[in-house]
Amino acid sequence: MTSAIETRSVTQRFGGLVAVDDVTLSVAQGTVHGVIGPNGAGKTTLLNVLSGLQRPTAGSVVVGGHDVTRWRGHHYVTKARLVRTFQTVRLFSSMTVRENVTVAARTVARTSEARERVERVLDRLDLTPLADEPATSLSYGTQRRVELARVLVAEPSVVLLDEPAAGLSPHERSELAALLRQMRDDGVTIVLVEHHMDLVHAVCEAVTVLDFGKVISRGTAQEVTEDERVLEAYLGGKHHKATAVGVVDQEDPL
Amino acid sequence: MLNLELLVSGLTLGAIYALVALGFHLVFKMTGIIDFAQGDKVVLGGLVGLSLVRAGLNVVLVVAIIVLALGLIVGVVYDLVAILPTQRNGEVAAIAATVGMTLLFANGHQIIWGPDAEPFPAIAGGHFHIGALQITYQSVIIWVVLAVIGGVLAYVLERTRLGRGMIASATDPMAATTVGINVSRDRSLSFALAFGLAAMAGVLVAPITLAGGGGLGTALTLKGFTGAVLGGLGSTRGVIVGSLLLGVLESQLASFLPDGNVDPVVFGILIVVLLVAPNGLFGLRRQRLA
Amino acid sequence: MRKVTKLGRQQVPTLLTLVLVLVYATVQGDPSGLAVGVNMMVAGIAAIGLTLAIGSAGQLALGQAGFMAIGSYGTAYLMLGKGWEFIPAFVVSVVISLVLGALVGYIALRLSGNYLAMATLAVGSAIYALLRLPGPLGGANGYAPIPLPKILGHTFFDPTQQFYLVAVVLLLVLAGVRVLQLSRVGRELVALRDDEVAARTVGINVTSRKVQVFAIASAIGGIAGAVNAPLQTAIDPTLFSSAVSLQLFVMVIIGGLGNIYGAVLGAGLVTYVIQSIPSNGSAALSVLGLVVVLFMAILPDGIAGVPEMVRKQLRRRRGAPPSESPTAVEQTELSA
Repeated sequence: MTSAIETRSVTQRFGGLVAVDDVTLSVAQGTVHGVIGPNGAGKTTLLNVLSGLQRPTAGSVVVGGHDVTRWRGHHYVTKARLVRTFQTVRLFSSMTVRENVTVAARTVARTSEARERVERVLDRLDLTPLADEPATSLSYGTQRRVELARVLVAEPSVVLLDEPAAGLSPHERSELAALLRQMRDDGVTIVLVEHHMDLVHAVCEAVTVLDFGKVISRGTAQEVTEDERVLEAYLGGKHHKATAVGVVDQEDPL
Repeated sequence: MLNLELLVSGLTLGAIYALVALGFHLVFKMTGIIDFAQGDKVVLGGLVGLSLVRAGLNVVLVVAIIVLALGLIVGVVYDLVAILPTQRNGEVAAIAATVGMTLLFANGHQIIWGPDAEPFPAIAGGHFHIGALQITYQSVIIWVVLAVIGGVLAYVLERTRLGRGMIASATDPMAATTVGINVSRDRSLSFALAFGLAAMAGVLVAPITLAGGGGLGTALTLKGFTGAVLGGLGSTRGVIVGSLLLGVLESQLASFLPDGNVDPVVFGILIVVLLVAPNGLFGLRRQRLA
Repeated sequence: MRKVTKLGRQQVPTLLTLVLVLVYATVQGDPSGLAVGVNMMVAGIAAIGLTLAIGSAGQLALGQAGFMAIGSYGTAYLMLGKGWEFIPAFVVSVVISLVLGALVGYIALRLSGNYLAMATLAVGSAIYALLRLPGPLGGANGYAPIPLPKILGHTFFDPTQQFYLVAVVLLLVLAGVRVLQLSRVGRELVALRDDEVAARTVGINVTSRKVQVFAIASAIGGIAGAVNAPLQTAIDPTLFSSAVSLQLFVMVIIGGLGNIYGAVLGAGLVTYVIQSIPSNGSAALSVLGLVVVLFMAILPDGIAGVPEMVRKQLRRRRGAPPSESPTAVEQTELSA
């Protein structure tokens, strides 16, 4: 199995703080890979490094066989077809829904092609009726969908999602899970940072657990939630095994 | 070979810049904003001082103290009227507002005092000699004032609870409030000092720069800012040392540049420093950039 | 055909500006009125460039007068010193402003906010200081006599013709910038002003877009200076001091950051007020300074922001939740 995205001994230091510490990670093409860990474990920093927003202090990032570590930010999208979302929705506030999606489409496709893609994606995510609304006037869940539309329109090969389920209703969450599975079936590779263990269990083939920037466990969702080290990281002490999943779910900000 | 005459005049020039730069430092430290009107506060102080002298007050140090007191009051009002309400709309709005105040000060003073620069009586006429070197009493007074103000500020800002409180307020006003810091008092104090000290500096330097005239304010703003970033906008000592360095550099350069036109070089230095060492030569290592 | 009508619709505000220009020429048709009109439009052109930099890309630039100086002195020198025709002198000096703008942009745009504003003010002041040096360009005494513009053998003697020459340039610049704003590049500029990090993650080349917009803004400043110089016969450095840059900044603010038509309106208004109030315009500029503060406190989007504010109010009444800006949170995460 070829890996669509991998990190080789990536370390990210901020002054004295080591946010990501020697993380090596390989995500197989067409799979969903979960990254979990307690608050401050370095998950978002890892995504920032993976998406080229931050250059790692040491180590390298490889996407589709190319070492992209020294690439310029926008080339991650236009050349490597790697796109991401953010923990808090970051839509372009002075644009409509359609404009938000179009501006993303135009960086990777020609005018007419981009226009078709935009309409297709808006339709796929049930956003067509809202296409001309100002993007930030919509409900939070809908804004999340606009962000996903912006991701899909790039026809990405790798997608990094930073807590896409945060703030969503249970119904919206199951819709999201269905969408992620669809994307994976289309051959998209997904890295998913998530607190909601139900979503992680539902879609991830493999999970990596971070704590204090280090990988402390790897395996399937089931395996890592039963791992002593993981339980310890979340609770910071001795505890009973059976509570693991429940405990992790309490991390849920809702 | 360093020319000593030029060194003396450079240190005086640098001290003037330092008095402007300390105002930048105070406001930046408190609010994260660069006040474009800083140089024009100096000009206003000089002109008010001139009016007091013309009204018959002939002890110029008394004039300086009156102007300082007025400046402290105006500084508080200045923040309440121009900066505080606009900062709510973002950094760009607040910077734009200080540019607006620059226009008001720079043009308003021309309505009251006329468009031309006026001569201002020296606080202390005369000079003395050290060997062949001639030093004016005027320069000595400016140095002493800078040393006193700089020393007090460096101590207060970097060693006392008040100083730490100000830094906390600037970084996160809400968090500062929750740990019991009186943010609005600290803020008023910063703006009062930034205005008052600049105004008083205006009285002290007016015999050298002349009082009023168009363009002086912006020139002082740019030079003071250059001095401040040269040493590090976030550090009191850095601001003073950087300004003195700039003054010395400028007077040395002026001696061999055509027409003594040092401005293009100084502004080039400003841009290079901003790019290469935005925290200044002596600045704090971790400091907010913009 | 559809393309043509679409283009027509996009240019409606440009056509309205044309109407305003024609009305002005009718009402203030005397030579002095036309001369003020020329000044208003020249300021308008420069303000369009500045509003592109500030409003479309969020770059707080305070050195626009410096680029006007490059355009003015460039054209003047090529015409008077080198005996060039108006058109090639105009084109070459605008290209010089463009290149210099790209250079300054490339260096200065690593800075943002406060620091960028101060750096651009310094660039403008440095250009001013350089022009004051004695030399072939006349130094502080100014440069004269610049020949009147001549196009295809026709010399623009008549004030009315001079007025319309500037008007044509203004309208072309407006139309061109409008097309730019509605193009892919324009949308990308809006995106990076809204959220630079998000813009990068949808594949926008943030750095080169910023440099491009700064260069174009500078070139438009150059155009303003280049068309004006031969109409003024004599130019001197004080026409391009930092005070002029600050005035242009005020025009852009009053017109509404980012709205090019607002900028032209603001430029016209400010120039007219300054020129029609005696005593050097000091009083007018003082009041304008206060107006800027007032705008920044109450109407940060300027005159052009009023419709958007009304729309927001209406939307709020319809019950949609107010949107939150995510930028602050994410920004701290990135820099943590």
